[in-house]
Amino acid sequence: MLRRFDVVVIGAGVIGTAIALRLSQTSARVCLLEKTGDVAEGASKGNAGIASSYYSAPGTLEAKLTTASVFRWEEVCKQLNVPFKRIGALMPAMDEVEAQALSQEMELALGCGVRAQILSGEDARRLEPMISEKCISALHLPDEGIIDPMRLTWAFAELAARNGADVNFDSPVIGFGKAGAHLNSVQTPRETIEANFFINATGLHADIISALAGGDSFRMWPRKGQYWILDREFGANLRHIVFSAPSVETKGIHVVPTTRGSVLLGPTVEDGEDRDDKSTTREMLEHAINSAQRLVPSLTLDHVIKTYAALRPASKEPFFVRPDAQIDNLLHAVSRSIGVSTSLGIADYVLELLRDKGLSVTDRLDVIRELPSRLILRHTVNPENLTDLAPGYSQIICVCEQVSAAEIESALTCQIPARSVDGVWKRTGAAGGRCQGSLCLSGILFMCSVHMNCPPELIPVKDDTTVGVGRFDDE
Amino acid sequence: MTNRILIVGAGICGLAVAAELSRKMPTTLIDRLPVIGGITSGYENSVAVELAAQCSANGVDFLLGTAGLRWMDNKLLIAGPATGLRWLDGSHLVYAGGTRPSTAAELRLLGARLAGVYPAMVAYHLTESGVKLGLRPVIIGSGRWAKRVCLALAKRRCRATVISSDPSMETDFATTTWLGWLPVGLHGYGRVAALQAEREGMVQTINCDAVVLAGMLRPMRNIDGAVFDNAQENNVSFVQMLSETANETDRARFGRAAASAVITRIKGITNES
Repeated sequence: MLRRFDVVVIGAGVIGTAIALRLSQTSARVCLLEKTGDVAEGASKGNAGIASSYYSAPGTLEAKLTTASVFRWEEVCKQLNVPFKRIGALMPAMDEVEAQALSQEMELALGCGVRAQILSGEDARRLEPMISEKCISALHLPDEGIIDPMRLTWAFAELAARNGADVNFDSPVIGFGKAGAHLNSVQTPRETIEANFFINATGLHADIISALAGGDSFRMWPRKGQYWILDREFGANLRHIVFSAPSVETKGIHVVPTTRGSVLLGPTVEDGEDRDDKSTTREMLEHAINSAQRLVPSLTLDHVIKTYAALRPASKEPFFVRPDAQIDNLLHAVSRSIGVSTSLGIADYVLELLRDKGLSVTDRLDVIRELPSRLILRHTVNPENLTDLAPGYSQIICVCEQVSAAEIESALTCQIPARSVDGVWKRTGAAGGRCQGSLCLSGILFMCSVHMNCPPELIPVKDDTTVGVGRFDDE
Repeated sequence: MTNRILIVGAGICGLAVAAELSRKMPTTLIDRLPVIGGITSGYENSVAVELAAQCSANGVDFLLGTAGLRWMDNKLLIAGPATGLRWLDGSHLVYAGGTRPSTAAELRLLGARLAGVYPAMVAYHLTESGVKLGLRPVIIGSGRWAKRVCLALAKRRCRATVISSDPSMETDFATTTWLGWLPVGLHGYGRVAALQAEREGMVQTINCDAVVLAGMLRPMRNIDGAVFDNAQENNVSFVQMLSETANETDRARFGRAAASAVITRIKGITNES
């Protein structure tokens, strides 16, 4: 039987899930298609976790949608139970050239309607003692925040599903049904789904989907970013995001505290062709650490937790949320590095565009606005009473990240449950800490095995690879 | 304020420290496992059993199946099915959480983050429970954990390749060895397919479908507030033996010696205040 929806959203990254959530709060029947087995498998997975307060020149759509998102994070993250802190950022200048660039940067931020102020080097260091003594002045951006991007993406999808959105994993789009410049349906290997509107939120793969639909012709390419993650004990001393000034040759390397307490160094900027190449390289990792040490000289590699590379989408038109020029019911929603920071604005804007195109929907009154509060042990200052909520809080699975059995169980039993070890990590942080699973991976696999009703060797580690290759014959 | 000493880790080192310290002051011994002996020696080890008996005789309070999570202001947050979540008062924390092989980042392994790469402890548990990690496993390291995983694999008639940058290590337990080679990177698509190694400017690729991280012991550090060595300023002592070759008697001796250092430190702190 053919299934029929008002809107099909393609791609379960932070943008696709934000759109699906917004639409699920209206009378629209919405379907989300994701080719992999989980949310946040593309650029949203390797996101630096910054909720930016501004990004590009005032007046651009990108700036407008960042502004539309920036002051909503406190409320949204409370409703979605997503860690968020508006810790502010500093952009130190180490020489006169950089100092000059700061005033331009300040104009940009002020133009976008957020706070920005240039401080003396001394005042900057008083605010953030970790920054270099060579800092002669710094731009203070108090509206910048940090957010857990993977939990945000999951929470968007989870709340969308609770509001009735039909979320489908392992559903790559392999074709469209068309009549002239109008799409009637979308095909996955499993089924054909009819809809009135189609949203292309596939990030790095947006060009492929557009081509499949016979829409606009453009090219996307991967921009690789390599990162270091340093221990929480080091992170505890850093109070602000530290950005490098835009004029520096080493542009782009930032020092970012994460909501999990660790510190992220990166990203590098490397344009490439291979959409699957997430390998790290010695040269670029060294570049990242050297650039970061210029900002925060006390950084050491004594307590490195992890290094990794992520791919973000790049194209000639770096940010486009607009109707396709060829196909009358296809919309693109693609953002470069700034998907998280614009996601709330994009979701509202896409609904506006759909209404302009004739989607007739009303906001529902019976909508669910909040996810059930699931307290995170690691973030609870006095967690003694957590066991009243669930006894599993006292059974610690991952000691490094303080993740309890209660949290892992809820990651495995929610509406959009983890279906892999990676999925558990995305939702809870388990196995992502100092020992990288040495102590806890067996326990996580045991819980996965019970909840998925699956022997340990067949549990996916990531999307499409399993823990083992089989079983030894019983002798 | 309490003068109770909290010891986290009931392996040989932790037991030895507890047996010694409990002669002088009230002592609580905590371990996340429900048994004594730790991962390395196990609860049936005779040295562990003997030390535990001494601890009991000295009135040590055992909290097994309980994890220590955070240390701040002379309080330790503990969690366990029996104890629940609560703060324990302590005048001093002795962290004897043992050791673990290095992670991929600590070994500075480059390349992608792939499936089929296991910490040695996990590889050992999975192999023992019948999971075939790969058809051509490579083990990084040549110490205690490398040997343990190799022997577990051998029991299943699975051959393993061992790679270690230390050319002098004894690796008679391995089928194939790459001694003196430094592992530098992992390659593959989704799952690991090759390990890259270097020696004197030469680069070689070793095909494999599983990699076990069993090299370079590091001290386990997983209690917030007791991670860096400078946590000593916050009444923390670390008692961890990084030697690959130390046996139970060596570790018991090490633990007892560490106990006297802890007592000297505590006396020093008390005299100052």
